[in-house]
Amino acid sequence: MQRTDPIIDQLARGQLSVQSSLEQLRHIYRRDAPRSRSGVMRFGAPQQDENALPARPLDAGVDPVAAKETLLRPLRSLIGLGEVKKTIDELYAHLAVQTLRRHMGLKADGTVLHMIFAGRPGTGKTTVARMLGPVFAALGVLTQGHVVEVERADLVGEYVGHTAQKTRALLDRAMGGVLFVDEAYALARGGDKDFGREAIDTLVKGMEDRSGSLIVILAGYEQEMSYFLSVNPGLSSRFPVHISFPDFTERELLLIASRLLEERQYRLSSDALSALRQRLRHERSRHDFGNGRTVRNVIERAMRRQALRVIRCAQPTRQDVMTLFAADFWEGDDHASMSGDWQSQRW
Amino acid sequence: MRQCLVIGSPNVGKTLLCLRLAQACGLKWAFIMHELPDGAVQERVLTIRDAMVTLVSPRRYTTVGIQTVGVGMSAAIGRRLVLHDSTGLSEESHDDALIRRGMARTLTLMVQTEQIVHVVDAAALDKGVLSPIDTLILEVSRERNVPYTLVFNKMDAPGAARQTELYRKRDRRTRPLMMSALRGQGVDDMQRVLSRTNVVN
Ligand SMILES: Nc1nc2c(ncn2[C@@H]2O[C@H](COP(=O)(O)OP(=O)(O)O)[C@@H](O)[C@H]2O)c(=O)[nH]1
Ligand SMILES: Nc1ncnc2c1ncn2[C@@H]1O[C@H](COP(=O)(O)OP(=O)(O)O)[C@@H](O)[C@H]1O
Ligand SMILES: [Mg+2]
Ligand SMILES: [Mg+2]
Repeated sequence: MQRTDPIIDQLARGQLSVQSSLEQLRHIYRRDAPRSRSGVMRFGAPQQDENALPARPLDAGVDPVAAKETLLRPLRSLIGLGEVKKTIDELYAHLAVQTLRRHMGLKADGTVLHMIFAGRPGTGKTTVARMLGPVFAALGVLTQGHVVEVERADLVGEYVGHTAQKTRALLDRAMGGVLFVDEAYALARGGDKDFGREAIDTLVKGMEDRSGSLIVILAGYEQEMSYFLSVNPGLSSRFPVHISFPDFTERELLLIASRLLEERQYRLSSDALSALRQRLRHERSRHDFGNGRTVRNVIERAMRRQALRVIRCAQPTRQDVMTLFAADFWEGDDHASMSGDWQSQRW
Repeated sequence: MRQCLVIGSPNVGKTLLCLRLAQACGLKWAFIMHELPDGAVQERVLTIRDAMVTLVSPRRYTTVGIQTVGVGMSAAIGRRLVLHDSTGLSEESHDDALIRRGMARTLTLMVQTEQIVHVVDAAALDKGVLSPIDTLILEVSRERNVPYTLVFNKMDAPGAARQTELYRKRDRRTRPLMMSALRGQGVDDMQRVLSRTNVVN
């Protein structure tokens, strides 16, 4: 409570005129003047006066509005994930405005930022989490912004008390950053007697004790996560930010693939593009489809095939070592279907 | 990020001055945060030109609540700076609760911000004397001992030069910075003032 507050309050309520409010403010500063001037006051330097609200520097020295595009660039460069990007944009705007509000002396709410990332493997949950850490750090929400990635085995121990100990150690390691719990629903796997229960309790307790200094993200399949939340009442409210990571479309998978090829300095022969598309379409229909991860596997497998092919050439050219052919993408299991598609002109 | 309040009576050109500064700093867009009467904050991004059309008005009290403009002008003046445009202070309309809230916000910022730019309509001075409220704004700023700049705006208007001359005869300590936000004159001086830390005039 500032001594200037009652004066300003009375103006707002119509109990003081503008002129008398200003006169009273002047009075307060005059009364304080001798004391504050006795210090090492520089001409024109901000006064270290308790009346002057401490003018807090922006937490991490970043201008949240000017820095927005720079900070979010890595996220924006991700392929697809429209809804994810939108949610993060909103979150960013909210946090940036809270930061500005604090600086304007307005109330800022201390938003709880623990999150659920729901989606199948390879949809970018880990990737996004790793990118969010530094963004939150720049906004002053986190002090470090590092991301500690864990899964059930890292949290759950082998004997009574072991789990709490392991979990607490990881919470400590994540202080000032993000604790990313992959396949978090697995913590509830073993039922009541399981140590997973203990891990959840320790996690929740730890989040409360360390409130405001770390962000916990629970990641996993959509359905498993909602089941997990439903059997752990109280968890939902502690993880208010829910972000869904949908499967990539065929087009997005292709874009991810071309990005990977470009990064690795490979290119596709004219027929290889169709083969890659066909391969991805086939993979996409499998129950264990791993989205971005599958794309990477497909590409890396093709690269190995190409290597075998190239090594048999007498004198490989630059072009030879760069180019992937259609055959590099063929797998034993789908020759038949591919040629069938070829005939029916599906690609 | 340095917080700078632009304060003054209604209709002296505070909003236009803020936008001119943003423009002079090479900003094409103004990030405008408008605090609504219920305390909610509305965020808008406008081109500077649109902002001038929408926010600058000859009517008194278009700036009810605080608009923050020019966030990010830091790059051009070498310092991080937020300009807080504010609700003009005057006894008129003191019976309007909305405007009183706005004025209270202005005072809150006045005791918080690290720098104060005080805008006066030079043509509206009487015998070169500041109005009682303007005199008090100057005094409170001085007592707070933060960088303070007195700006005489509307120097293009009839009588402004004469009033300025009279003012300077009476107060030799304060050298008001003269400008015409309308014509964009004196904006570079203003820019220079904001890029230094301890200017008190
Ligand atoms: N002649 C003249 N008019 C100005 C100048 N600056 C602002 N105005 C006009 O004064 C009116 C109020 O300007 P505005 O920026 O809204 O003032 P505010 O209420 O202090 O924010 C508008 O009609 C402006 O066009 C100036 O330098 N010269
Ligand atoms: N939107 C995307 N754009 C480009 N590559 C992506 C994208 N999402 C995921 N990837 C790639 O897919 C792989 C798996 O992503 P990951 O974040 O580990 O998924 P999850 O954590 O959901 O299992 C990584 O190699 C990553 O680079
Ligand atoms: Mg993962
Ligand atoms: Mg205005």
